[in-house]
Amino acid sequence: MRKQIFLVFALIVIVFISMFYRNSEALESNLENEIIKILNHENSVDYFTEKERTKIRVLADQTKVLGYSDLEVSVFQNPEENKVYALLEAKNPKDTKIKGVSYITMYLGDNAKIESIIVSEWVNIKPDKANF
Amino acid sequence: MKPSIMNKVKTWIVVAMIFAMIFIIVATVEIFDYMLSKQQNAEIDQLSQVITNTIDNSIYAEEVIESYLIQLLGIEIEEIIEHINDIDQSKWDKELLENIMKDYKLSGVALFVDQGNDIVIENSTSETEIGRSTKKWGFWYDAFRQLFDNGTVSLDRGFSDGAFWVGPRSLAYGQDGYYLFAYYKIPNKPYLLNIYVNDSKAFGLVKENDPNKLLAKMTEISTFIDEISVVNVEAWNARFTESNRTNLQDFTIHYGKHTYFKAEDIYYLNKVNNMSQNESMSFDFVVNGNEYTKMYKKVSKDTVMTFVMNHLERRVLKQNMIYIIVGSLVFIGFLAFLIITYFTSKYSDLLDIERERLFTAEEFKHTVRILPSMIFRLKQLESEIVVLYCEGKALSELDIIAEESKNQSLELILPQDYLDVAWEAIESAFAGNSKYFEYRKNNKIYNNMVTPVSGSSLSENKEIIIFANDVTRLRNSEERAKHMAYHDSLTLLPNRHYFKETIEDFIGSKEASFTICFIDLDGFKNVNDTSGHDMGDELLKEVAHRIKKHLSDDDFAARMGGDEFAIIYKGILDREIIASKLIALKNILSEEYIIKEHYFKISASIGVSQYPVDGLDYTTLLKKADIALYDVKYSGKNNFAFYMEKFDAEQ
Repeated sequence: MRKQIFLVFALIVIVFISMFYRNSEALESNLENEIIKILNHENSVDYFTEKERTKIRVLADQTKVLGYSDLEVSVFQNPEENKVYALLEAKNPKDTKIKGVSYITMYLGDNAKIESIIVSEWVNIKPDKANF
Repeated sequence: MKPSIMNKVKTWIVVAMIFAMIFIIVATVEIFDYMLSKQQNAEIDQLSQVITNTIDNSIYAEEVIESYLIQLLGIEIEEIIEHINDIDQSKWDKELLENIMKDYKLSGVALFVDQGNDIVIENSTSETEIGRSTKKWGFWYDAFRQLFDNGTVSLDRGFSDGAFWVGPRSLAYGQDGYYLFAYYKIPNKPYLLNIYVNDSKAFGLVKENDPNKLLAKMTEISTFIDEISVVNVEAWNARFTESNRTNLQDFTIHYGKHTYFKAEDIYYLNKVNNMSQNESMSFDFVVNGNEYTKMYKKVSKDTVMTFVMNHLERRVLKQNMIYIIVGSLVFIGFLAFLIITYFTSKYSDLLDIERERLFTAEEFKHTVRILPSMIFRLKQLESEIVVLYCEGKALSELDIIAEESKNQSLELILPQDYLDVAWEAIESAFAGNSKYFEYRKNNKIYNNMVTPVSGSSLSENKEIIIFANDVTRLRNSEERAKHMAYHDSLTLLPNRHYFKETIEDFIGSKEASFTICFIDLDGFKNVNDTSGHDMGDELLKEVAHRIKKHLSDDDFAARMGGDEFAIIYKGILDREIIASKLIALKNILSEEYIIKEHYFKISASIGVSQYPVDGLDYTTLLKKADIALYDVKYSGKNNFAFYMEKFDAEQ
């Protein structure tokens, strides 16, 4: 009887784990950390060439000028495309109603290596205001 | 089916039922979740249709008013051009522009100058615009460049009429509201005249039905929609997937709010933009532990509507569904339990009685097993007696195995010697009478009670019980007590009491004759006094030993007390024979004793009386033997004498 009860509980646990389990892609996670490191002018693993790294550093400099802080990066990649999209969000400590949004579009070459990137400039978003 | 297999089947049925219940709960919750999701999608379809219609109406109204405004702006700008052409270019200053703005009730006026590789705002009624480059203004810059280079705009944007061009309704830097910006290439001058109006004045009527208000209202009313936005995909791409395009004037979000930015936005917006109208895609995401779904729905060319839906309603419904299902199952289970209990209460009582009976039987069996006894329940059939039941620790003494004995013939189970002593009692019990008998085996004594089973019908169902109780210890104790009561503990010879009973038994038998010899040791008191009582006791034991050696099988000897002994010669009255025996005895007792390396010399005086010659009872016989003994003692000891009547006179 004990064996059967254990089996039931084991299956229930497996069902719940499979329901709530979310697979996190290593590349996405690594890129998030990598971009944050570059934005913070820290040493990073060689995901980007120096040229592409410079583009992100320009954004980092703009970030500093605009006074943004609390940077958050999230990354999305769809297997259909050879692109990876990174969303950068930041807070404006002077005006908490404004948040900054920027996207980095990364083009992948062979072996999923990043060939080139396009970095948009920061866009001010006012959550209480329609349109922008 | 074997009980073990039955138990396994029952167990698996229980396991299957648990799985079925879990499956029912999960499936029901998922079905309801799916249905609610479908319902929400249907609501979104309806909402998007309403929004689209509203936007279309709004756009139509705006286009009408915009068309009218453009005509007005066209007329005004030509007038203004004529006016400023009459003024020296050196006086095209801010004051002139502000006067124009005031005279024509405009929102602003500016002058753009062509610098070759850039077009810059040289002067403006808005201080913040002066000196601003337009090179990063996307299609706006392209339109300016075409005005300078070609004299007209061929872009598929805004309204173009010769050197006059009006851009799409748009934003103004640092100012709220929507504007119409009109440009005119000033002939023969590297300048564009820009006049613009805020549509809040012109579009006041349309604003009453502004789609933004509708979207805000929908978001407020809906329980699951947190945000709705209508996205200009082309503007989105220009703003976010190209470098250096932050200063766009065209709207990225046509209507509504867009604050839930996701990394997936660019992919889904473009994917859905390439799909057919009303097709949609969505994905789930989590913010601060709350689940959301973001849906992208194609509205028209380069226009995609986004909905951010929270899962709160679905989560609450899921929870409620789980509570309802689990509660219902518990209630149904409880109800079923009550019903089953009600309809099976009679059987439950019977089961309780049966359970109690089995428990009692098991206790009884356990008790019998540990007792040194055995019990047989027997039934008489036509031709034989069979064992219905047998149990007990003592069964092993008879080499009987209880489990193998049931329904076997009694004669096959019991050893023959047991049957020999038990048969009479068994027959008697089957006749209705209890009987007892003893059975001895392997130094064990069993007291057997054979009795009919009370309550059983003697005529139809003859059953009896043999209860064999091990009484070995009891019997041994009895025999030991009896021995102690009838024997002297020092010499182990029979004592005076035993001697008396023996004499009386002899007297009671027909044709009895015997001789009593009463013995008193000479010199024993001296040994006792000089060598101690221990030595005296040892001497008495040796005397008893020598007396026993002297006796034949029919003779009887006893210690009467102290240093007095007695002998009975049964069936012998011949005085010569007695005398020869007593001479031999006297000689044996007079021989030297060696006890613990000490030498002792004693003798014996013996008085003799005979039955029935000298007396007919024990007291008389013993008294007369004692009188004869006294005579011997008086005559010098170490001798024997038969009783004579003259001794009475001498005393």
